Amino acid sequence: MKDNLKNQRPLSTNISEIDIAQIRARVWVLLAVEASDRAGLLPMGKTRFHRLIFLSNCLAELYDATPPAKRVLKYKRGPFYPDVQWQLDRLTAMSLVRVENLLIAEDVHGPWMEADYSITESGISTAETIRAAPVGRATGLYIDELIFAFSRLATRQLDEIPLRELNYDAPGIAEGALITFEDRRSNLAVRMTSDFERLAPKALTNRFREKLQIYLRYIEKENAA
Amino acid sequence: MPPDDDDDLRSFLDSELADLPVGSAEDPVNFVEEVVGWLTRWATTYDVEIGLEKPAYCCFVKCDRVREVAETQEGFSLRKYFRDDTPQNLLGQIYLCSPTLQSVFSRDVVVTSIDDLEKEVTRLGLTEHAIVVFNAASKQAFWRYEATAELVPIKLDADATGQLNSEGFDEELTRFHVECTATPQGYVRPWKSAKKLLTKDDLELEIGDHLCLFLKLKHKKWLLVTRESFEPTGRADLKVYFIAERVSFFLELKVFRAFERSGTTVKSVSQNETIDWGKMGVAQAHSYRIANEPTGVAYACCYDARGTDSEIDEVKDYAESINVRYRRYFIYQSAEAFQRSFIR
Repeated sequence: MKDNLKNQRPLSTNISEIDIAQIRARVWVLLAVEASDRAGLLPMGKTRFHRLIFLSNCLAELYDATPPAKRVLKYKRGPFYPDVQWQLDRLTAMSLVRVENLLIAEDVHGPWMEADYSITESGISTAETIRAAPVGRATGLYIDELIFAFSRLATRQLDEIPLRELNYDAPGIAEGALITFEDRRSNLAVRMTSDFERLAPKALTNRFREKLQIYLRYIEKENAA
Repeated sequence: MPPDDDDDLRSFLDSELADLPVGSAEDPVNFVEEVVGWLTRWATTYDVEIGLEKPAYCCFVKCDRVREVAETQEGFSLRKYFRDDTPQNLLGQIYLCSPTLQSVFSRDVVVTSIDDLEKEVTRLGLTEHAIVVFNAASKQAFWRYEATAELVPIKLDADATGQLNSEGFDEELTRFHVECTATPQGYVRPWKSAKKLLTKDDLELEIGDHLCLFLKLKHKKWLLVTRESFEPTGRADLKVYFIAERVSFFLELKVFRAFERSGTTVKSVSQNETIDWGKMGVAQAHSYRIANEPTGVAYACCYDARGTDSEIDEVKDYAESINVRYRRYFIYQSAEAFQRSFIR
């Protein structure tokens, strides 16, 4: 037994585990799940979660935040991020996120797996630790504002709103097209919030939270019309 | 699709600005505003006559992780689409709510008074939570955002008071003072000990909470009120934007104290310290304004708990020199002293 222990190598550091982009993405996903709990949005289905992450990508520029992925395919089921799904699964394996109601079924689009996600006690305390660190605080502030603004929208429209988002629903963006947020000037969400500021400068200059909230309400109203 | 022209977008913005929450994501004052907005919709939709035998009350409790709280309590069930649907069967229930009412659980409760409802909240172990209590018979709501605070009433037809414009703002600040801070019984309950001239430790913060809700709940259609608004030059206690006029007022709130706590001891505050504190308030209000609108309006509202109702000329003169509206509101040690102040 002793010999076995002596011969054991220390846990090797997997390079992919310390990839800064991976860590950022995992933090982003965990903070989003945890904030959704406080906003009364959990348990949340996988489809809605990916749509919420899409909205967080669209508006991250307002807060100078770095989202987990700046590109997404316009997929037949709405925005879907393989990397984010990997992070969700990883967080589940780490017991920070809980998965329930796993369902593998086939619908008009083909085979699909749906599941509901919620946060665990360990997930809550890990998120609190992350939020106490400088990088977590800045990301957490943005994620909180986005998710609480999302939770102020009509419950029945929550799944539809991301599909009506200006970048996603833009004319000429067909299914299978790549939507990117790498250039601020081509981000229609950011351009629309600039229009809000141009028309109400005294109310909205330097008001990132308010612009974010008004943008989501704008999409909600367009969707309801 | 984007609107065809700026007019459409401007009119959309005007309606949305009035609907924006007062504070940042989890600020408890947002919850109060959210519930009062929901109750106003309910009261407008259903013109319910309340018979003596019918339940007239209900209570909303803010829960940070509502599902977890509901699962540990007995008898609560999920009210799906509560936020969207404004259901008629509202009364005689206690509601556990997420901050934006996206997730709401309820169960029946038999109560005959607001006191009974408060006792029920205590029995559930939720005393520390922000609550809004509703009396459908009088169409009045009462809110408090922490256990030690008093329940503050708000009429649900407050918007019927008419449009508040920037000219009427001073009068509204005075009304707030009379209702909330002028006497020991005011809704802010400013004194820890009126006799000893000891104010609450966080009185500036409490005044800020009450003032933003006082303005927002009474004049929702006309104002964008932002609490602890981040400006490039610091954090303004309150920013008030008059939607129709498109003008902003920046407010800094200060308390003049006779004594202040320093660790475990209490020390008296000198006249020079008060002057410096007052000038600081004036300078802060000025700095928020110049960072945004150099021609805009800045207020330094100073709540005076020194025990002597006398003007501080140094602060007044300094405010005039940089065009800041300095207002001093005296906090009386008793309701009688307040009444006697009118006998000159």
